Amino acid sequence: MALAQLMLRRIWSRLAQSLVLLGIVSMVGFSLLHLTPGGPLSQFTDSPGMTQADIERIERQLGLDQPLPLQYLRWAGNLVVGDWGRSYRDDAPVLSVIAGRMGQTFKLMLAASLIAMTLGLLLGVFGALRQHGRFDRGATLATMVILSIPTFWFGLLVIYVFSQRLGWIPAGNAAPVGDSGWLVALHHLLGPAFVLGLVNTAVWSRYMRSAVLECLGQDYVRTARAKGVAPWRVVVRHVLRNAWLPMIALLGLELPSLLGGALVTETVFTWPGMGRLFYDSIANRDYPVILGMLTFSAILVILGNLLADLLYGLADPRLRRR
Amino acid sequence: MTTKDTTAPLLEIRDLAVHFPTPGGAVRAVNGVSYTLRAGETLGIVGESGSGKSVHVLALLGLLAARGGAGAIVSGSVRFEGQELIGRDEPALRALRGRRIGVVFQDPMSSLNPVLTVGEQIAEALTSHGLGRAAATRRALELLELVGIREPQRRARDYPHQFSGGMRQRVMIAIGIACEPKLLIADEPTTALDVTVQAQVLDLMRDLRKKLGMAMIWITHDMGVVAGIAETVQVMYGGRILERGPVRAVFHDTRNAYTLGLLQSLPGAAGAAHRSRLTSIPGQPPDMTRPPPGDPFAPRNRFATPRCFEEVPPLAQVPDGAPGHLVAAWYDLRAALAAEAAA
Ligand SMILES: Nc1ncnc2c1ncn2[C@@H]1O[C@H](COP(=O)(O)OP(=O)(O)O)[C@@H](O)[C@H]1O
Ligand SMILES: [Mg+2]
Repeated sequence: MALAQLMLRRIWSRLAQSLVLLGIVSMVGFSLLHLTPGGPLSQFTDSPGMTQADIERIERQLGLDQPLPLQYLRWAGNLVVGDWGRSYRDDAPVLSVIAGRMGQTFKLMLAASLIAMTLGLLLGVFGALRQHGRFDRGATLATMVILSIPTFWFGLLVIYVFSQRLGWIPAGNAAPVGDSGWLVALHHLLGPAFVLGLVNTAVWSRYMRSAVLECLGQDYVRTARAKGVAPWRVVVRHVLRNAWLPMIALLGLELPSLLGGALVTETVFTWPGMGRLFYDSIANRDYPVILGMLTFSAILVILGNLLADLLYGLADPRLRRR
Repeated sequence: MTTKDTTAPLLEIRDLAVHFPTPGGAVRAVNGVSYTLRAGETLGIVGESGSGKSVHVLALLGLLAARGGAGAIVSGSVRFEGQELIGRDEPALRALRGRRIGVVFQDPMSSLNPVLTVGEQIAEALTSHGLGRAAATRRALELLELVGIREPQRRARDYPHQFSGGMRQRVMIAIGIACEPKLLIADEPTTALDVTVQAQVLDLMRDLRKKLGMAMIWITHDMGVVAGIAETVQVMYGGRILERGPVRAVFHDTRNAYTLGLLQSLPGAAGAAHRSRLTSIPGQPPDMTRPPPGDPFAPRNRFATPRCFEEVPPLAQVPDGAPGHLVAAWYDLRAALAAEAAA
């Protein structure tokens, strides 16, 4: 089919663009970390009892005495073949350290996204259909409040109210050690997913509301009504079919902030995902892990955008032909 | 309806007025429009943009209310097939829209949904009025063929952006006539098209009108188009009817200065009879939040008398004119033109 071929071409060209972008991002990240005060060796230089000779030996061992571009090329080359270096802390391969944590982060992001998309869609659509009505004004106020509260503070508030006072949810962690029941896991997920989800609901409902409002004013909606199409059908088939096209793009655009939000939420709820890992690695100045996580996030965001872009191309018939 | 009076008009509009409350004051878009339309008759409505042509159509279809904002204030009476439409509930109006009254809008690009296939959009006009899905899909193909689109099987699966402007307008027409309505309202259907395509669409409409035996309201700002399709012409300005009558009478025995202005601005032979050189009407259409107190056209009219600025002229039969030739004017255009020619 011609469509499949077109899609394939599109994927390749976007993938090529993404690789270039990834190269630039990793270069910048690499240089920045090397240029920070103290540099990658700060963990060792700050330790008492280290002599200058010790440090120079470590520097040579780690290849940190070589020119920066050379170091980058070696690091990037290893990256491609799956060798992301080893953690300074326990010598575990960086890739497996990250792999061990990303499942929990994805779980949180997915749960939060489901909440955000469902609630955001409903709030946005019903708000727009009764613009400036009581529901719309209430929803607008609520989203403004949520958007203006910092995520970590909102998380602490939820822990205080629902965990400390009411005792409905656990205060943190994914599940008690040794307990692997899915109900227990879900119970632990509730708090962080709710916090991250609500923050994103606010974003989604704002976008959805304005997209629906814009589509409602379009000529084709008037045409549908002039045909005698039932009101609910006008909304679902004509308004929503058009209004959620920009939402697909939003999915890609909001991914970095979703990831960032997840990292903050994880720290508040002591959720054993990448956020905690990142926090701990910075505290320990575990340079290879930090660099690995930056690269991993960049890949994630770029892939997410690529996916959103391709989905958009599939969903909008006007883009399919090109 | 068993006891249907054969002389009863298909559409009867009395004192229709539409005002939009806005922060800058009420926009008086339509100010007391009255006219009737017989079954099978074609009425051309002409006027510059902003005359209230579209708004009066949307009002009679009940399509103004749900467009957001404060909503429009509609008053007066619209009877279609003997039933009052103003103040009717939405389900009743919906049963009428698309089935008894079809509409074709101006811009076929924005008036078609970009993410639905053309076939789906035509079929929807039928399924909305009770036809089954399969039958509607089949009928959509027939309709595409009827409006002159080749390879309907293949084209039905295409999206609006894959059609040319003229072909898109044919699709809009297919939607408008899908349920074989008694009345088709076409709001500037050829304005966005170039002259050749415009002529093709006009041909198509004349043909369809004959095949389906429907009445038509054809809205345009081009007097030339009216001459080619309508029996009756009605000139609107400032939300009022300024002149109305059989096409021949209005074109050759013009009684309103605004009508004359529209005719004089026609290019080509049609306009040549009315002028020595191509002229467009000087001045701007009035601000409809503060319409002039008298004849809305008075400020732009060189024949205006003092009374024109104070009192709204009623729409009345031209005393020595053709039957059904109505004009709203305090001045006597024929006498004024004769005096001008003598001077
Ligand atoms: N929804 C609205 N709110 C306020 N004013 C409107 C609205 N729709 C139309 N109008 C005004 O009503 C007047 C008549 O418009 P319209 O009927 O579209 O003119 P036309 O004769 O070109 O079709 C214009 O002055 C227009 O600005
Ligand atoms: Mg108009």
